[in-house]
Amino acid sequence: MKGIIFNILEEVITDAYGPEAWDALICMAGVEGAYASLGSYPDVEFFGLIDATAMLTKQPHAQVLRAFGEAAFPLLIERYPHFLEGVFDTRTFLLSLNTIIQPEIRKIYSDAAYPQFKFAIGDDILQVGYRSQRKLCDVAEGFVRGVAKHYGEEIEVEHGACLNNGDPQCRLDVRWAA
Amino acid sequence: MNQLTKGGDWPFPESPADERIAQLERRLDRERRARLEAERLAESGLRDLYISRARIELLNGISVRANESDEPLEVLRLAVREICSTLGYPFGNALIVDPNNPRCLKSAGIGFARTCASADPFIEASRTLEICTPETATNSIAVSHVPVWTPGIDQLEGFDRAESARQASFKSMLTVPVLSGRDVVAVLEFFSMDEREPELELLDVLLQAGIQIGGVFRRRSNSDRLRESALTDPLTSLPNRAAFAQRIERCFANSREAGTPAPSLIFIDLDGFKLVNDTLGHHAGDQLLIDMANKLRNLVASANAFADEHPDLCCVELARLAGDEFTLIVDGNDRAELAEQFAADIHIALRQPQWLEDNPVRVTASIGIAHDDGHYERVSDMLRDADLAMYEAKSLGSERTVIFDQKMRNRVASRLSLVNDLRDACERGDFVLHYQPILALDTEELVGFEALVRWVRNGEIVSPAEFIPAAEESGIIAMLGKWVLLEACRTAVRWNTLAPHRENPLRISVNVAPRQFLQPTFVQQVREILKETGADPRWIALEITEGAAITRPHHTARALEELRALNIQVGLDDFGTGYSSLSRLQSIPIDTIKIDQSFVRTQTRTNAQWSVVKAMLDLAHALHLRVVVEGLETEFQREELTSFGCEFGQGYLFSKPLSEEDALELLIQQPDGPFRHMETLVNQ
Repeated sequence: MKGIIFNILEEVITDAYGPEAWDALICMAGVEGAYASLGSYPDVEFFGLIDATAMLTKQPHAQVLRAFGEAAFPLLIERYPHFLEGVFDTRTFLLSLNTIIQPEIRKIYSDAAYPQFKFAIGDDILQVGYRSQRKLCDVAEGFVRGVAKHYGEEIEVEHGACLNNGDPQCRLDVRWAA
Repeated sequence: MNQLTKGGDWPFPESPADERIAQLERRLDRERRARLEAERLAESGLRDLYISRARIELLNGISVRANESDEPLEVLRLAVREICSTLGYPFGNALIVDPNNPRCLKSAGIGFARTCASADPFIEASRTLEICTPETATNSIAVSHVPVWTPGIDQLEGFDRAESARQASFKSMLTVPVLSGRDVVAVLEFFSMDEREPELELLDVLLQAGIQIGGVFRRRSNSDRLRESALTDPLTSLPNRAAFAQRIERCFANSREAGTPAPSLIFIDLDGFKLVNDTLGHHAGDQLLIDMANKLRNLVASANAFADEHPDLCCVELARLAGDEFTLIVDGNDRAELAEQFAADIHIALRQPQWLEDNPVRVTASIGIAHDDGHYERVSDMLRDADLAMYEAKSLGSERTVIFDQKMRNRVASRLSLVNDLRDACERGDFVLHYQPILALDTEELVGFEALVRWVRNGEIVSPAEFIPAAEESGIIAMLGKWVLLEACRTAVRWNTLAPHRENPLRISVNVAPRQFLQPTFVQQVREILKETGADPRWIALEITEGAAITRPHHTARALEELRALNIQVGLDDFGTGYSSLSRLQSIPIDTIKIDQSFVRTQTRTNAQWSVVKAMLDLAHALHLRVVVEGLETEFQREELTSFGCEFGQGYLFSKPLSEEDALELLIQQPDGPFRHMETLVNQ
């Protein structure tokens, strides 16, 4: 996993609980903790840090991931403001995940493993298909909420089929309030 | 002490512990920001590197393909796909400028799409796009010489596809011109769901890609032009012989496949062209051909104008084969009628005199037509027949049209069968020799005979006029000539054996055809025949034509010397009709000349014009040549010629050509001289 994800996680934790919390998580997960954004680090370190967070904050694992996804979006945009150029709503941004975001990520992290997204568009619904080795669909769900929050839109996300339940892919039905 | 050296004394006292922690936190924060900045710089460098590498690869890929390929559409397809994939455009489309109307852009039917179903109407509209009114803003963008980015296409006024762009969520468009020199030959258009303005560097890369692709168009148009010029007659700009051959081959093959008759063929040959060329010069001749081409072009254009409405009724194609030969391919339901009407129209069009360099010139055409009756197996047969008909028309005089028909076919067929029969006759020896006596004009003494060949075909005698031309044309004449010589030698042997004591040998003159004489082995052939028959060379005289004698002077001189060395007399036949100037006679080693009968036959007591004959006689005598005249018919002619000193003659005055038996009879009946004892010999 790319170091940038660890950096974002650190920011999320520090923003929420202060710098000592991150030190405690590093200590508890037993990881080195020196992450450079362009570097690659074992996935287990990320999951170790998430597990430690869940334990220390007494929250379910999935909720930690969703919270991370939701909080990560504004931090990413802070770093990569050009991702939002010409994009003025949640739907457009989500539809650009394959066409804009992924190519952009490739430009910097040529070896990054990037999840596959599929879209089905309806009038008041956007179905997002998600598939990834890491099965971080909860992060994706939180991320979608983070996008909507950024644009000030009210949405509902229904996480139907899920990789973690043995389905071939996750399905997130995104609905906008009438 | 402000020295910044290592281990220098720090002049300020140490801060308390909480102050230290605050300092450390600030330092940590600085470090953190420096790290983020370093990472940002590194990411940005990586991104730039990635982008420029991807652009170079894109441009390189397109350039390599453009340099390798001669197929513009193939390169367009590749370029659209590569640009879409590399730059992430969900849809790209290629439009081609109509070569006949540079203000008109048409979809090339080449697109690349990675879109959802909602974009289908847009894609469909793009694939069938045709822009021919370049007034609107969008269209002027389309033919710009640089890549142009247009945002908000789903709201753009004057953009036909705005509504479907809205459905497809396409927000912006990038058009890239394909440039061949200064001309836009095609336009690539790419559509995006976002409205991020592309960087200038990217536009530059795409401009270069457009120029590279344009190279393929330029090469193609050059090679098309080359191909076209290989098929075009440079003088008249009409299709040339090669183009005609391709065309008619294809027409013929198609019609045979479809089981329909092939188009009719018209061959046109100008009658007075050579005269114009020779008298007014080649420039005038060229002008005449150009005018002729234009007249034909106009006729064809008016016929084809009609064909646009009724393509099944008529379709005419014109070509210049060579020199003053033109051809028309006439197709359609009424092709036969139409072709004949065309021929008539051509004659009429040519009646109007042309002015060539202030000279009124009138040329006519000879026209041959061949219609397909379904029996032609090869197009070459049909071409041959149209050509034959044209020659037939020419032989009938000017301004004639001849349609090839069964009769002509029969005539050609009968000429073919004549040649075959002739060949068989040669092998079987179905020929006889007739002999026309040659007499000394003053004493009327018989000095010899001219051997004349006759063909006994199915028991009937065929005259030489009927079969000699065919024999000469087919080359059979060499074989036939050999037979004649052999037979004449045998006869000479028989007759001279009957009169062994004759003072002057009885000589048989044998005509040698040019083709026979020009054989390198001719003298050898004569030697062998003499040996085989046992004939004395003095009993034989060979007559060659002027034409044969001057065709290859070195061969002639050597052959004649060798024949004379064998003691065979050689004479020049048909003298006065050929090409040789009288002075040339000196250089040809001959013994006699035979003055052609045309100089004698017309001379009568009332209108005799002997000056030419007299001049020939004077020259011959100056060169010590003996002279034979042929075609003697009247006593007047004999008397006159005798008085001029002409030695020998032959003609109906003395005798027509005789069969061998009759000739022998004549020999026997000689009133006196060496043959008088023959009667007893023969009758024993």
